[in-house]
Amino acid sequence: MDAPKQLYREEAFELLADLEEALIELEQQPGDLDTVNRIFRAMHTIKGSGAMFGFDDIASFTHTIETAYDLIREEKLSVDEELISLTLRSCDQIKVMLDASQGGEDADASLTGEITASFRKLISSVEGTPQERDDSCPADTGGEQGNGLKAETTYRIRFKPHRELFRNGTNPIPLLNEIRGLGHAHVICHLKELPGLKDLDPEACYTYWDIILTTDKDIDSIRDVFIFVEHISDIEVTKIDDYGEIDHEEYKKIGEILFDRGDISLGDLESILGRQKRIGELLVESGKARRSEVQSALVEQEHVRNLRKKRMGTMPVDGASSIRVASQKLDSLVNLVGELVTVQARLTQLSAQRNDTDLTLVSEEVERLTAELRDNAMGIRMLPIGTTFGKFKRLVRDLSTELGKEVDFTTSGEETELDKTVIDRLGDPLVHLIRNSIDHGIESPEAREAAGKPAGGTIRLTAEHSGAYVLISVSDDGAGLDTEAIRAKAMEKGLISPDANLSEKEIFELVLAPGFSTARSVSKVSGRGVGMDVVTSSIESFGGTVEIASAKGSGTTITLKLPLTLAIIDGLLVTISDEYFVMPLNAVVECVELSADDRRHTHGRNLARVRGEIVPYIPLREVFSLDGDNPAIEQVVVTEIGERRIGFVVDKVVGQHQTVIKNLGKFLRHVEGVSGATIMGDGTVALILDINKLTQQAEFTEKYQTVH
Amino acid sequence: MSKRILTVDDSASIRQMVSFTLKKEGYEVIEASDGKDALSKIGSEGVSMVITDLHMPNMNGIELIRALRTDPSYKFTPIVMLTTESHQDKKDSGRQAGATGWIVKPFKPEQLIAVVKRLLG
Amino acid sequence: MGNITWHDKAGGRGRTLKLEGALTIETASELKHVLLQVLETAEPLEMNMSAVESIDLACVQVLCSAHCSFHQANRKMTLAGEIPEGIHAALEALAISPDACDSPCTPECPWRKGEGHE
Repeated sequence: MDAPKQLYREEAFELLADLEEALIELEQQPGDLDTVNRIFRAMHTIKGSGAMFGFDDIASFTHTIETAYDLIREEKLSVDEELISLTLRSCDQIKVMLDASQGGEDADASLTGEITASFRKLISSVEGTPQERDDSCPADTGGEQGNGLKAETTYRIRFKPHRELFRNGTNPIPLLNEIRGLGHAHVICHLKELPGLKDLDPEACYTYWDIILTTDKDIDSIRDVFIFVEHISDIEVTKIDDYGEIDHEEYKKIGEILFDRGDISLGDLESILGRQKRIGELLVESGKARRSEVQSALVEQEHVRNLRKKRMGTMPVDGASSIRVASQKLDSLVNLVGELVTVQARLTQLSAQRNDTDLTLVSEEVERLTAELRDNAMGIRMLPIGTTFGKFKRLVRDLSTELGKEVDFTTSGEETELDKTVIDRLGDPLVHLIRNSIDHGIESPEAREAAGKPAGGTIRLTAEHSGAYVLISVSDDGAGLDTEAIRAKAMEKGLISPDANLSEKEIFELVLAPGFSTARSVSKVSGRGVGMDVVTSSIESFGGTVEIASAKGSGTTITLKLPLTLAIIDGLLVTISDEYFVMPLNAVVECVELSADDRRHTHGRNLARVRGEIVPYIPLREVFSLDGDNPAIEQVVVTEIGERRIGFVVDKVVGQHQTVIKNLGKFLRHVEGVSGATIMGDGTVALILDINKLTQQAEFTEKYQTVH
Repeated sequence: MSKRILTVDDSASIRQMVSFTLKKEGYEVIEASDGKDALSKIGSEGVSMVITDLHMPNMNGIELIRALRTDPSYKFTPIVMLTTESHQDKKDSGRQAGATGWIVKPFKPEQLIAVVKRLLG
Repeated sequence: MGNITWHDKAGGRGRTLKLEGALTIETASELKHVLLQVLETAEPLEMNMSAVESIDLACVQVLCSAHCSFHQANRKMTLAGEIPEGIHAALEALAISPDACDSPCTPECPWRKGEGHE
């Protein structure tokens, strides 16, 4: 037993002795209110301290007795012999409870119950008895909603202390931190009332705050934080967003927020709204609102918008309210959005040249809307991939029967969403992969049993999100790839030189090379082993990659990494000799400078040092045979392909560019290293670089050079 | 730097409980049994917070708060009063005397810690 | 309690106001007094806060107000030495930052992170 508990016990015994004395006095003078008060206070202390020191049984037991004596104090209940003896028995019971905590016998629960019941009867005999007082600690409310969504509410708190805040020893720092601890908070500070040094009272508080707080706690928990300062501050807590609020992610306009907060008047707002400019700018320019106030309103707007966006993302799709639309209509919508993005880029470029504030404002607004429209249009085209999974079940059943193999087919990640165009183009490659798995991967039941595996094999088709990509993999628990066999085959086909030193991964990659097949016989199912390179080229044609992992004897997994969407990508615009090129931004890691000196130091080898790491680079001017001299300082755009970093040398990095992909015409379709084109704001064409292809080409050249 | 807190209460068990709870949280604690005792112990050492009961012999809590607020070194020190009942008048007179906050007895150790953190950080 | 002391610079080229320890409200009046005196003379103000352990809102207000008043009077208030972590932590907790302040002196705000002088 710890020391404070021990002390409580001692004190409680003293109080009980005093209590017994008082009870006997009361019996002799039943009307003496002083004595009643003494008894009440003693019970109150025993109860109160009991709860503090962990004697919860004593606390709850004494609570009822205290209530009875409160009624006697108020002269609603009279003292009689029965009450006195009942109270004396209670004292004995409390002693037993105190002893129990020190290893004594446990208190008789039925006796406790009996005494409590008797007191309750006395209490309820009093007409109009108020509800039992409840002094217990307030429990935390809030929490989860039935559907698993966190029941979070967002509040705007304006905490505006009076000048004398510091005078009673209040420090606002821990208060603000306590609020931050309640959830996700944005705190904005206002110093506009701070006077010049001469007029400053150094012991007065001139600062106030706006806090936007998203929390699962209720409004009382927030008010509770300010309970010690509410008489010396103006505290306004307003609910501005609720988890039930899901109709729209759009939140109030800045003007509305400022008006809500009382920072501007309705007149201010109306006079400003007549003009066409960003409201926040206008309010600041006209001196109607402070920049910090507008800033604070912007923070609130963004906080709530983000929250609602997130919430909308997690809401289950309501099947009843969906409509069917011909996919053609969607395609033309996306095409139109594509055109719009192009026009918008022109507008942005124009407005930058004109230096006209009004034009800039309109252009910025168009930019924002276009981006939203684009995301929405793309979102409509997203379909769960599960719709295509169904048809593979049939395929697996038919093939396995034909080949005399037992195959169990499982799928997961059906809900993963992908652009409709990607899904449409995924069918054939997946058929190839699954065929391959059944034909080459899964062994015959006899062979499997001989290898100590269950007779039936398993093929697993899974889809999952990974950043801007979706990973789709087909894995089997079959024989796995035979590296030696692949090597031998590759040599036989002249794909590698006999002394080539290849890693396991590189050997696996050979399987993807054109004209490669390891199947010993040509079966009806897999055809002539043209499958894999067809898969590779079709996946790469829409910006994806193929990866193989395999362990001999235990299976093979082929993973397709696919971009979420095809029609529009975020690109990095670069130039080489006045020609524009676009690189897919999601592959770009960073840009570094490359000086002529750096080039010389590596003795003509194309290597750059990026933060201590050696990164090989590809000089694009040479690859595309472009005219013009290298500038003194070139830029290396470092990209990440798989786990490798490759740099691309360009003259200049222009910046981020929203790229609507246009297919190349007939004549250019087969240009290696270019996956498409885009039209820039001013009408010029920029080629979109296929960095995967470029890398492979460069590697091929490199190898070719080393071999010969 | 460990923050030093003075706890003033005529009940040894409350004092011990406060002291025990706060020491576990890493604060340094001095104990005093009433206002007079508090003023003599606070002396040269200085404290960053005072937690005081209101009903005490010799010098009660309200008087102690007033005395501390007139001393320039304690003009802005957080002072928490322990009130037995949540009666508004008691709280108000304590606030007028200059108390920063209060805790209503009975309280659990967690409530004590929450209040100390709120005022002291 | 914080300490506010003047230190002569080497070679008799003016002096530096050194702030030390815990800059709490108990120090705020003295801090204001000292800064106001400098403001009312023609002396340039150089301050060193590198030995400040902590600061509270009262002292932050005095320093902000002083910076504004110096700016208004077209006077320089420069910092020698780094702004210590204790100050940055308090500013962060109070959400005081030049980005959310519209005082005319924000462009030269001493609280901008990573702007220690010399």
